[in-house]
Order: sequence, then C-alpha cells, then structure tokens
Amino acid sequence: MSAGLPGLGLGGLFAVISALLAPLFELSRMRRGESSPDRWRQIWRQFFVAIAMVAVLNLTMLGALHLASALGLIATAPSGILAIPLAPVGITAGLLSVVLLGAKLAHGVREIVRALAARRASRSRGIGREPLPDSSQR
Amino acid sequence: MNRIDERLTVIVPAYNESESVGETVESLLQGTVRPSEVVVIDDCSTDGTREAAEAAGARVVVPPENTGSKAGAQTFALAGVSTEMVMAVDADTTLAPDAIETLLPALDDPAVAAACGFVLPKDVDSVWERGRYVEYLLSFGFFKRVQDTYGKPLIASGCFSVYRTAELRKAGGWSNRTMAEDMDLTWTLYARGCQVRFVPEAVSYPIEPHDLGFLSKQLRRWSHGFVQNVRLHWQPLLGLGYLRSVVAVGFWDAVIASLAYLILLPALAVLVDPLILFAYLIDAPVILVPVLWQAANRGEIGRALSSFPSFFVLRLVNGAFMLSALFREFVLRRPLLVYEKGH
Repeated sequence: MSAGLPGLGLGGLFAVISALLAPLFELSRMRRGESSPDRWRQIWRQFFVAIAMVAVLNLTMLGALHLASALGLIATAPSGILAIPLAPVGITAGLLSVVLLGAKLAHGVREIVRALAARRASRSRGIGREPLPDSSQR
Repeated sequence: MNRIDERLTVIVPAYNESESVGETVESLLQGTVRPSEVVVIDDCSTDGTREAAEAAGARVVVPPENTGSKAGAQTFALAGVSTEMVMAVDADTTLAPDAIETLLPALDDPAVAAACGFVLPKDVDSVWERGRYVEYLLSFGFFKRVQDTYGKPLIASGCFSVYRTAELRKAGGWSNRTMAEDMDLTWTLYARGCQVRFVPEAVSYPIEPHDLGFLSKQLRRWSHGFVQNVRLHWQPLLGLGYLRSVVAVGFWDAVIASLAYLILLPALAVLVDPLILFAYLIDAPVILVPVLWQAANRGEIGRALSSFPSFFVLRLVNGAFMLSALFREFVLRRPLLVYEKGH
C-alpha cells in the first residue's frame, strides 16, 4: 500500500527531489565506507528516472503552450525550451518545505518536552532522596 | 532440484482460501530455494483450506478458535517457529521462482530485521486490477526504491516479507491493534533501531480485488490502518528522520489531495470552467515515466499502457476511502475494529 495518493502531489515531488539528491547523500556514505557499486547503480537509475520525469513535465508544458498558441488561446508561443512555470513549482516546493519543517519542528518540540519532563522527574526524585536534617547537628 | 534453506520457515495465514492456497504452497516449495517448512495456519476455515494445503505439501496448524485476523493467525504460528528466519506469505500470493533466493541475502546484514519484495497483481483484467497494476509499478518501481536508498522503506508488505525471528519476537510478533499489521510491525521495528530493506528483484504476485466489493473491503482496511498507525506511532516516528518526512508528506496528500480530487475540482468545474477537470490527469505524463520504465524491464509495456487509464479511476476511489477513514477515525472517533478479508 501507499501512504496518501500516489501521483504528483507533495509525495511525488518529495520522491523526485529525494532521487535527485540521493547521489549527494551517497557521497557522504561513501566517505564512511558504507557505499557499494550496487547501491550506486540503484541510485543512478532513480536519478535518471527523476530527470526523465522532470523533462517529460517540461515537454508536456511546452507542447500544451504551443498548442494553445496555435489555437489562439494565448498571445505568444514560448520562445525557449523551458516551459515549466516557476511560480506553481515554487509554491509547491514551499508547501513541501513547510510540511517537512513542520514535522521536524514537532520533533524538536517533543524532544524539549521530554527533556523538561525528565528533568522534572529527576528533580522530584532528588528531593525525595534528600537526607532528613540531623537533629544532633542543630 | 532446488536447495533447502534450513534457516527459514514460511508461514501462510489462511481463512477460506481453498482456491488459492495450494498454488501458494506449490510456488513456495518449487522455487530455486525452498524453506525448511511451509506452515499453513488454517484459521478454522469451512471450505477445505486444510485439505488443499496438505495436498500441496504444507504442514497445517489449526488454532483452537478463529483468531479473527491475519495478525492473530500469524502470531499463533510464530510460537512454533524454531528457525532463524521466518517469512510471511499470504494464502492468495504466489512467488516468482527465485523470489526466496533473492530476498534472503538482505538478512545477511545483522542490523536488518526485515526485508520485503516487489509486489504485482497476479491477474490484470478488471479495471481495479489494472489500476492496482499501474499503482504498484509506480509505488514499488520508484517510490519504494527511493525510500530504500535512504534506508527507510515505508512498509514491509504483509503479503511477502521475511523477518529475523528473534527480532520479530522482541517486537511482539504481528499485532491486531491496527488494521494494517504489516505497517505497525515495520514502524515498530524502526522504533527499536532495526533496519528494513526492500529487494525489488524478489517478486510476488498476490490476487488483487477484481470487483468493487472486494476492493472496498481492502481499501477500508488499508486506509483505516494507515490512519491508525499514524496515530499509534506518531511520537517515535518524529525521531525517524526520512520516514518522518515520508509519512508527513503522505498524510498531507491523504488529506489535501483527496479533498482536491473529490470536492475542490468538481466544484471548480461546475462553478468556473469544465476544463478544470483536466487537472485529474495533469500528472499523467510524469507518472508514465517510472511506470513505463518498470514495465519495459518486465517486457510489459503494452499491458502498462492499456492499464494506465484505470490508475486514475482507482486513485479517485482511494481518495474517497482515505477521506472516509480520516473522518471516522479523527472526527467521529469510530475506529475500524473488525478485520474483514478482501484480499
């Protein structure tokens, strides 16, 4: 089963970005001696699939814009080869960052709460163990 | 002649599976590597499951009464397992001949407690099976491979996974506290510091729901299971780096994408412009890339292309069940508690 809905929602974007960044992470694993040729083969495979996904998205947009131009729906046809609109991509990437940072923030808050609770618990245990005042010393 | 791996026991939970369990057992015994024993847990079936399993060569155990869930039947059998590794295979699932041989080496690393393989529908005929076929090509062929690169496959699928028996016992076996015992177990293993691996070369073929009735039972179980597991494991999940991100993003999509597909887009199509309905297919070309890549490796491009439209129908149905599960679990506080089989 999949979490969420498979497709190009945030989950799809996250998988594509993960695949594109995987070679960088593998370099750090390689420095620690935890990499292997088989892992690199897998990583490059995913990397090129992700590249192909981005390229197909761009080609689809390019085709759609040229079609719209030919039909007179938009004034001018795109002049370059890049057609992916940056604003929606930026908004989606921003949203993804918010979700990921939100989860990380929740982790941080939980760690702080746990640390405070542990400190409070150890303090109350410490108070319990404090020796009673010795009346002979008075 | 196949080789017997004495370190492995396969357990097959079965309830009224007489039509498929024989083929499952045969595929387990006829692979290039076979387990020391195949144990079928006949969960008090009434259709001759026991006879079919025994005829195919399995040892059959029967609990004193119906355990009520797959998890219950599997944990009942786990008590009698004495081998180092135990594999769980569904009674409606057959394996590729080299599946066991390909999957087992993942457990050579002592840090790895579980490993799972690739899943593809055995039959690809109805719209639901075709949709599931494309969904699996995408999920197992791209998403899960990427998750494995980061050391955190989301889930060791219940229909075909192998476990280190000692770690499985320490984790308490399969629990029936959620409707997705495989996700529960996978996340429990991660929380205990164990590793889980995905081996795409090891392929299994479960029977997927062929009609909407069976599909509904399965999707209800899966969607409630996901929500229940997020609720149960959210605290340990927060400390699990990449898995935390996968679940957070998946949960976001489960809520927002489902709302967009089922409410926002139809509303905008009515109120603004019917062309907005094209948004349902906006990611089709991008999804097609990993699907065709995986299908090409299997020589199944024609099947993938002809099945592709079904994926978008299935995705809508998935969204409806996900929204329903979220509403029932979080708003109505009416969790799904009864395990209803539907493949």
